[in-house]
Amino acid sequence: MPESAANNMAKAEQTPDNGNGATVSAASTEPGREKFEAIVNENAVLKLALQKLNEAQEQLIKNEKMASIGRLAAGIAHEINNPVGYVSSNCTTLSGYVNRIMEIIKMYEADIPKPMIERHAKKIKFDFIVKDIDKLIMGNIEGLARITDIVNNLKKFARNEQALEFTENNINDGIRSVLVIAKNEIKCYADVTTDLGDIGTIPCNINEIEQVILNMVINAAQAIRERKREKKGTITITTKKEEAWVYCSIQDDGPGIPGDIRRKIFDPFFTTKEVGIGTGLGLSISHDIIIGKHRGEILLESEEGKGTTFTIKLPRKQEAPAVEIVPGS
Amino acid sequence: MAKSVIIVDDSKFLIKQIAQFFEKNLGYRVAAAGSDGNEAVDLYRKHKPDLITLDISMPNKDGQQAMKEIYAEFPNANILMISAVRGDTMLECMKLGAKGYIEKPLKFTDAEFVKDFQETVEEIFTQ
Repeated sequence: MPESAANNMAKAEQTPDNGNGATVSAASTEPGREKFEAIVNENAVLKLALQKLNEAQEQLIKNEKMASIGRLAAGIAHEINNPVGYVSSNCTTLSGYVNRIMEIIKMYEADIPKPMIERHAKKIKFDFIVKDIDKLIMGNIEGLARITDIVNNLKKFARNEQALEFTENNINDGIRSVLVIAKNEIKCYADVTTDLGDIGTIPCNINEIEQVILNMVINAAQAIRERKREKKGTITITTKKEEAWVYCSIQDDGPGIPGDIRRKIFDPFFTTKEVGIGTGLGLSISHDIIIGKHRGEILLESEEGKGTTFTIKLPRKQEAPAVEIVPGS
Repeated sequence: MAKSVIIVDDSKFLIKQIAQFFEKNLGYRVAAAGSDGNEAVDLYRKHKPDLITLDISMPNKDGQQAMKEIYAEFPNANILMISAVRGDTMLECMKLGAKGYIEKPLKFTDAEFVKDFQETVEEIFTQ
């Protein structure tokens, strides 16, 4: 028996007159007391089961997130490799430029006749070098910023904290993060346009919301890819707020979801993707996160041949978390 | 009268190219050609040309040493380095008194290179 349940039982036994009169009077007689203890016992078992279930769900959410990072890893590596490539090439060029500039400096130091130095400066295109150095350094700064951005977003996304409590977050930031991480997965098939409204912050577990958005964005890209068109598709991400809700829509112009499948897409292990591409858990877990944990909604609009829009609807205020029911109180 | 030049390089192929360039583009008369530092000094003594081109890395005696010996005897010699060697060696040669420097590889099909080569040679006589 877990410690908390045992404590609760102890508490219940020590303060039998805390509850309503019926319980107290029932507990005062022997058969009543037995019943009471049985209920307390049952309650503790249920609590334990619930706790285990919650833990399993947390684990499942975490696993699915890590799996999605795994699937994205090659693409992320490519996104990092690209700037690494040109930063390192720029450094090689810069090192050559530094050697050239040193030559000129040494020539001045050695009192070489000025016309010869000028000739050499012309030969090595000194004026061009000076201009190009600026460009190369700016390129490097930009490239390094891109790498930092990707790594930071990845780190943020993969952080292994089990934040059970909600914090105030702007989900637009989450969307931007997701788009950095998923860029390589999307860019060959679709252009992403965003229309992110001034939605302020909402209480949420941003890590999990990011996971849902990533999942939906990847789904959208894969749906568009299935159409096998020559032209790229479009994924449109829109956020807006209304009085009580914040909305995030992820719209694709993929093939749409056939009517007979629509009811099943949130079922665990349901997937239309090839083996190894999808686990069938993405939308099921998204459902748990949005509806179960955040008391929001997921709206689905889909027309075959036209595309699909998933809209995540999240409350701008969370009611106080349900008070834990302690037996005997 | 056309100016005379001696070309010294350990590559026969490059001697031919450089000679052609001096004759056709600059109107020089190629007085002689050599393939190492010893030949460079000997040929200079013999012909006393207006200009001598020296490769740096050569067998027997390198261009730098040949340059020292030529300048010891003929302080007003006009020496043009044509070499792939850069950096400190190039600087040393300039300190010794070389009047110009052409960097290998020789890109005679590149207009910019040709222009630079011509101007470098012309500047030797206008400095």
